[in-house]
Amino acid sequence: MKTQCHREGLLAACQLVSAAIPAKDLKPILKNLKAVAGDGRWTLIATDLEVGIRLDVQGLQILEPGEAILPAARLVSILREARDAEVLIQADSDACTVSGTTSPVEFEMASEDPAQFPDFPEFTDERYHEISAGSLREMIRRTSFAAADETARYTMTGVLFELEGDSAKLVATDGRRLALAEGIATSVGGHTTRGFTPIVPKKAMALLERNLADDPEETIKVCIRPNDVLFRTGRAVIYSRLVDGRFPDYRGVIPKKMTTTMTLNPAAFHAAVRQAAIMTDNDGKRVTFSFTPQKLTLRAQGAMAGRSKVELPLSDYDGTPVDINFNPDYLTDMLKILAPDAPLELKLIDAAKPALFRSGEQYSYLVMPLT
Amino acid sequence: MFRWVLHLDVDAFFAATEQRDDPALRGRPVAVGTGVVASCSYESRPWGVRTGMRLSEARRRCPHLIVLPGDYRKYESASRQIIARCKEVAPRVEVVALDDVYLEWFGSKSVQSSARELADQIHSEVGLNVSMGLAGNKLVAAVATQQVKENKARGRTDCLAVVPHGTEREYLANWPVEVLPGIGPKAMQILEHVNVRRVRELAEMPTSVAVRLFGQRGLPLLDLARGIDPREVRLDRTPLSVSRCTSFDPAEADTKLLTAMLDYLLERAAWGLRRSHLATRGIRVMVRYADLRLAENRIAVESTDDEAILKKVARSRFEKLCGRRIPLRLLGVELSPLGPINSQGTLFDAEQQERRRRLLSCKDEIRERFGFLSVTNGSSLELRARLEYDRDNFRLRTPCLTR
Repeated sequence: MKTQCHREGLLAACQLVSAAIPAKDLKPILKNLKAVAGDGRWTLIATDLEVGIRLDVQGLQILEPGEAILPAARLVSILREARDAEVLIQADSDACTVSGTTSPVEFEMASEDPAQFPDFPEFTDERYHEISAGSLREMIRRTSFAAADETARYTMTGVLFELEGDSAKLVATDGRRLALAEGIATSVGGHTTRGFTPIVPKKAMALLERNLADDPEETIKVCIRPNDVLFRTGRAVIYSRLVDGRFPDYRGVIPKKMTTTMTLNPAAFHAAVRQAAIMTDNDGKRVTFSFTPQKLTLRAQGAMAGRSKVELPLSDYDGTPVDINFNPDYLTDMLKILAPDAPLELKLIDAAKPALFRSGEQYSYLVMPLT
Repeated sequence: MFRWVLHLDVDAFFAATEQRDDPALRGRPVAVGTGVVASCSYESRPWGVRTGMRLSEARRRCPHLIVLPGDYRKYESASRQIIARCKEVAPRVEVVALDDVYLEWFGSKSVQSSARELADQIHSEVGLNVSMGLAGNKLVAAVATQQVKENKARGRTDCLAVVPHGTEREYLANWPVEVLPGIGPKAMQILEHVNVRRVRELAEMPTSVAVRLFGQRGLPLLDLARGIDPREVRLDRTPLSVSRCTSFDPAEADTKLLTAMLDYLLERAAWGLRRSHLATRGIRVMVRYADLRLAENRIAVESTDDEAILKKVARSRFEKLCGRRIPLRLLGVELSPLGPINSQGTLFDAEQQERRRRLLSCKDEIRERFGFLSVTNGSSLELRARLEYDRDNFRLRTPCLTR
C-alpha cells in the first residue's frame, strides 16, 4: 500500500478513530489502526472488540491500493510533528514508513499482518431509524454524563437507547439521578426497540458524539439489534456491543404527580449552586435548598470550610415551601450542559422524594435528595 | 485570662488494674500482654522490662515476671470511671486513649489544687495512680507528665508537674527532640544529620533551615520546639479509623477459620462504626505471616457502614493477600477514611436499602441489650466450634486489647 495524504486531514481522522482504541492492554494488535486503501479513499478502522469505528478518509492520492496496520499513537505523533503539508505512507505486513514530501524526514515502524486485525459487522440492515445529527448529539450530551462510572452498577454504565415509531429516547442513570432526553426519529422498514432495553456503553456514545460534530443537518442511521448496535454517519460506521442486562425501570421512578412547581433561570440558578457549594467539603457534599414562594435560599456548611448562604428570587411559584438537600455536583452536572437562557422548570414533592427538572418538553432530569 | 491544660496518664494502666484487683500481685513485677508486653508494673521496670518488648525477652530479663493475658473490658470500665471524675472537675475533656486524657480550664486560680484533688479522688475511688502535667498547652502538659513518670521511676512520689506560663520554651529546652509530636525515626535521622538532639537546638534553628529540612512542616515544628502548641482540647474526637485485629499462636493456616475470623473482625468493626454514627470510604486488610513478613491491601469503597458490603470486598482482598501458602500469625482489618453516613437517596433500590437498614439497626439493638454474641452470623459459627466465648466476645489471642 502506498498513499500520499494531506497531513492535517489524516491527523484529524486518526485522532477521531483513536478514541476506540482500548485503554488497557487487551491484545497488542488493537493498539493499531487498520487502513484499507482503494477507490481514492482510505477506510480507517479501530476497535477494542466491544466498540469499533470504520471511518472514510477522502482526498488522498492512492498510489498503490492495499491494506496496512499502522501503530496509532506513533502515527498521530508523527503527523502532529511533521512540517510537510503532504506525507507519503508506505506499508506492507512487515513495516510501515512515513516520509515527508518536502522535508527530509522518514519514520519506519514495524507492522503486522492486516488479516489478523479483528473485524466487526458492516451496516447492511434494511431496517433502521433515522435521526438528525444535531439532535442526536444534543441528546447524548444531555444524558451520558449521568451514567454510572463504577462497574458495580454494570447495567447503569451505559445509555438506554429506545427507538419506537417516530420517537427516540435516551436515558442514563447512576441510581441517584436520571437524565432523559427525547427527540424525533424516523423508522425505516419497521425498525423498533420495543420489547428489550438496549444499553449502549458510555464509550460508544462518546465516540459517536465526536463523529457528529461536522454537520448538524446530516441524517444518522441507527440499527439496534438484540446484542449490538450500528450507527451510520456520513463518513463513519460505529459498532458497539450492547451492555448485557436489564436497564432499571426508569418510568416507574418518575413521579406522576408533583405538588410544588416553579420556573428557574438556569444561569442564575447555576451560579447560586456553585457559590453555595464553595463551603462544602469532600466528606459531605450537601447544600440545603429552602424553597418559598418569594425566594430560594441555599445554605451549605463544611466541617472545616465555613458557611455559605445564597439567595435567589423566585417567580411563578406554585405550592407549599420545601426544604430539601442535594449533592450540588448532581445539579451542576446538568446545569453545565443546558442552554443558560432556556427556562428550567422544577417540580418537587417533599424532602425525601426525587426532584424533577424539565427543560422544554424534551428533557427531564430527576435527582434524589440527601436525607 | 490564662488557659490551663492538664494532661493525665494512668501509671502502668493494665498492670496496675490487675494489681488493684488481686492483692497477691501487689509489689511484684507484673506484665500484661500476649506475645508482646502491653503494659508492665513499676516493679518490673528495674529489670529492664518495657512496653512493646517481646514477652520472651521480658521473661529472660526478669525470670520471676508474672505475665497475665488481661481483659480489655475491665480496663474500659476503669477508664470510664476516671473520665467521669475528670468531667466533674473540668469543663472540657478530651479522651485520647483509655488512660490518656486532656482537661482544659480558663482563668481558674486553683487549678493546681483541683488537679491534686482529682488525683486523690481517682486513687481512692478507682484505686489507680495517675501522673499529671499542668501547663499552658497540650504539648508542654504532656511533656510534664513524662517528667513525673521519670521521677516516679527514680522513687519520687509527687504526681503533678506544673510549668508556669511564659516558661514553656525554657522548660522544653533540655528535652531530647523526640518528645515533640511528629518527630519520628525519619525526622530524627534528618535532625541527627544536622547535629540537633535537644529541643533547644531545634528552637534556635533559623526558619529558612527548618523549612529546607522539613518543607511545610518546618514552621509548625519550630513553634512546637519553642513551646507554642495551637492544638485545641477537643471534646468529641471523631475517630480517624476503626480497626480490629487478632493474632494466632501457633500460626494459623486453616482458610475456613481465617475467613470466619475475617468476617467476625469486620462485623465488630462495622458495629463500632455504626455506634459512632460513621461510615467508611475504604478498607484495609492486613496479615502477618509466620515468618513475620507483613502484607496488606487496601481498597476504596463507596461510603458505607454495612458489614455485608465490607465483607465481600475484604474477602476478595484477603484471597489475593494469602498467596504465600504460609500460615498467618496476625489478621486485621482497618476501616478508614471515616466520614458522616452517606445519606444520598437512591432511585431504584430505596425500599431494599431501607429494609437492610432496619435489619442492621435491629441486630445492633439486640446486641446492645443481650451481648454481641447473642446474634451470630453463619460465617462465625466456625469460631464458636473452635474458640472459647462469653456473651460478648470470643476469647481472642490478645484479651487485654480485645474490644
